Amino acid sequence: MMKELITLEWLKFRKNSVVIVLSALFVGLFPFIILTGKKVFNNVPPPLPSSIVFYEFPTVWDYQGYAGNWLVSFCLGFMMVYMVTSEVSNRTQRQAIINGMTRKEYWFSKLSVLIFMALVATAMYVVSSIVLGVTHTEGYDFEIIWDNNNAIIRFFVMCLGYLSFAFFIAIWIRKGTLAILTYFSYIMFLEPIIRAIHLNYFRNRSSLFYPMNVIEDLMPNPFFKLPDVWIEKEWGFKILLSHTEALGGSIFFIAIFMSLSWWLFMKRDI
Amino acid sequence: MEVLQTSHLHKSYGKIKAVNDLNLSIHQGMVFGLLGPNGSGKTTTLGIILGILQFDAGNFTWFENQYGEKHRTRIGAILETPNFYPYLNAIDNLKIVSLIKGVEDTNYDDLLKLVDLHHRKDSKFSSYSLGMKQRLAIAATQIGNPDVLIFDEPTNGLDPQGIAEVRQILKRIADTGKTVIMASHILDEVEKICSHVGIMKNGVLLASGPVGAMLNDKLLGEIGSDDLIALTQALNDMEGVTISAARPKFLECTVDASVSASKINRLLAEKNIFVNHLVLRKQRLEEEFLEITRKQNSVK
Repeated sequence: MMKELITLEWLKFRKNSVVIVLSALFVGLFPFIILTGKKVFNNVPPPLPSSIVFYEFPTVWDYQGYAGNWLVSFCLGFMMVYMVTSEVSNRTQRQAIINGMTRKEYWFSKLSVLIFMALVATAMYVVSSIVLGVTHTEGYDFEIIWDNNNAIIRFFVMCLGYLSFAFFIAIWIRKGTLAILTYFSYIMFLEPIIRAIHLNYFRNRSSLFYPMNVIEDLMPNPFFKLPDVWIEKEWGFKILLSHTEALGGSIFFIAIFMSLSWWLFMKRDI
Repeated sequence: MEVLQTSHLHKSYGKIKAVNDLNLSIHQGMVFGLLGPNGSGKTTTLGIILGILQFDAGNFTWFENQYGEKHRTRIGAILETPNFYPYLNAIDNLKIVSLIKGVEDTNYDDLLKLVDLHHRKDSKFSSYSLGMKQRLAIAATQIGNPDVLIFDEPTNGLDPQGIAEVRQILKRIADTGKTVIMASHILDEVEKICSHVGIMKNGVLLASGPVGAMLNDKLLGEIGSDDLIALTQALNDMEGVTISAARPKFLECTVDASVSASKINRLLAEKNIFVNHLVLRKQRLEEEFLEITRKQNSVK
C-alpha cells in the first residue's frame, strides 16, 4: 500500500516546478554546503584549531547535521507545506476523495511522502558525512567513523519533526501562502521570541522544551557546545538539551502534530 | 438495486440549513435530476454523499453497503468545477485518477476520443478552455466503467457550443443505462436528459418522482380573441377550462386533458367569439417547478 501511495504522489508532483526546484536545491546544496567553510572560516576563532573539524570524523556528523538542520527545515519543510496546500488550492484533494480515496488513505499518502523525504534526507546525510569524513580524516578507522553513531537516528527524527510540523500547519491553515508564512514565522521568529520572554521570567530549563527548539537540538549548532559550559556555570543549566531529552521531546511533539493533523483532516469539510 | 439511499440527512452552516431532513432513494438505471435554484442545497447534498462534506445528522448508504468504504471507486463524479493538476497533461491527469480507482487497463486514447480531446492530449490542463476542462472531467468519470455517474451543474459557465457538446455527451452516457445523478438549475437540461427528478429548495426536497409523473395531466392553453371580455366570460362558463392569467392579447388557461382545441374553438364559435390565437401544450417541468416552489413560499 505504501508503494502505491508513494507512486501516486510521484505521479502528482514529478513535473511540478516548485517541487523540482526545492528538491534540486536540497540535493545540490546538502552534500557541499559545509565546504563553503573552507573559504569562510579560513581563520577560525579559538578554541577551534582549524576548520578541518567541520569535515573530519567524528565531528563531521555534528557540522553536516547542523547544515542539514537548516536545509531540511527550509527546503523540505517548504515542500511539505506546498505539497499539501497546492492540492487544496487546485481542489485535487477533494477530487481524490471523490474519485475513491478514503480520508485515511489520503492522509497516509502524505505521511508516506513525509517518511520518504525523511529517509532520503537521512541517507544523504549519512553518505555525504562519510564521504566528507573519509576524504578529510587522516588515519580513520571504523570506531572513529561511528563514534557519533546516534547522530543518524537524531537526524532522521529531526527530519520527521520539521516535516510533521509542516504537515500539521498545511492541514490546519490550508491556504498555501499563509501556511508557508506561518511555518517560517513560527520557526524563525515566534517561538524564539516566546522562548526569550519565557526565559526572562522563569530562568530555568522549561524554556528549552518548545517544539522547534527540541527538534533543533537534535542537531544543534556545534558552535554552542563550548559557550554552553560557561552558560551552565553562570545560569546553573545548559541551554542545549541532551540527546535523550531532544529525542524524547521530539517524538512527543511529532505524535502531537500527527494526531492534530489526523484529527483536523478527518473532522473537517474538504 | 438501491444505488443510493439518504435518510433524514441534515447539514447546517451556522443558522442556515443547507440540507434539511433529506430522504432520497435512487435505484439502478435511473437518470436522476436534482433540480433547484442556486443555493437550494444540491451541491451540498452531492458533497455529503461524495464524502467531502461532513453532515450533522442522518445517514446515507451507497450500493446497499456492498462495497464498504471503497464505494466511491465505483462512482464517477464531477462536483462544481473540473479539478486536475494544472501543470500535467490530460494523460498524466487521467493516470492519477486510474491509480486512485485501482484501474490498470485504462485506454486513455479512447477516453479522450470520446470527449473529443485526443488532439490536445499532450497539452497542460492549465492551457485548456473551460469546455475542454469540463470534457476532460467527463472523460475522468468514465475510468473504471463506474456504476454511477454524478454531474453537478455540468454546463455551468460554458458557451452555447460547449453546452451543446456536453449535453450530447451526457445524453449518450444516460442512454447506456447507467445510473446518473445530475444536479442542475437548468430545467430544460433536466427535462431533456433525466428520467426522474427531485426538486429542492432551501435544503428541503419538495417533490420527487419520474419526470412524467411530476407533470400533471392538465394542458396549458393560450387563447386569444379580438373581444377579450367576451372571451373571459365564455371561458369562465366552459367546463374543464380555468383561466390562470390575462395577457394583453390572450388569456392563459389550464385545460383538462379531455378538452381538445377543436372543442374549445367550436364552443366559442357557437357564442360568436372567434379566436385569433389558440395553443394547447403539455405542461413543462418549468411550470411544475415554479408551482411547487411557489407552494412552498406560500406555506412559509
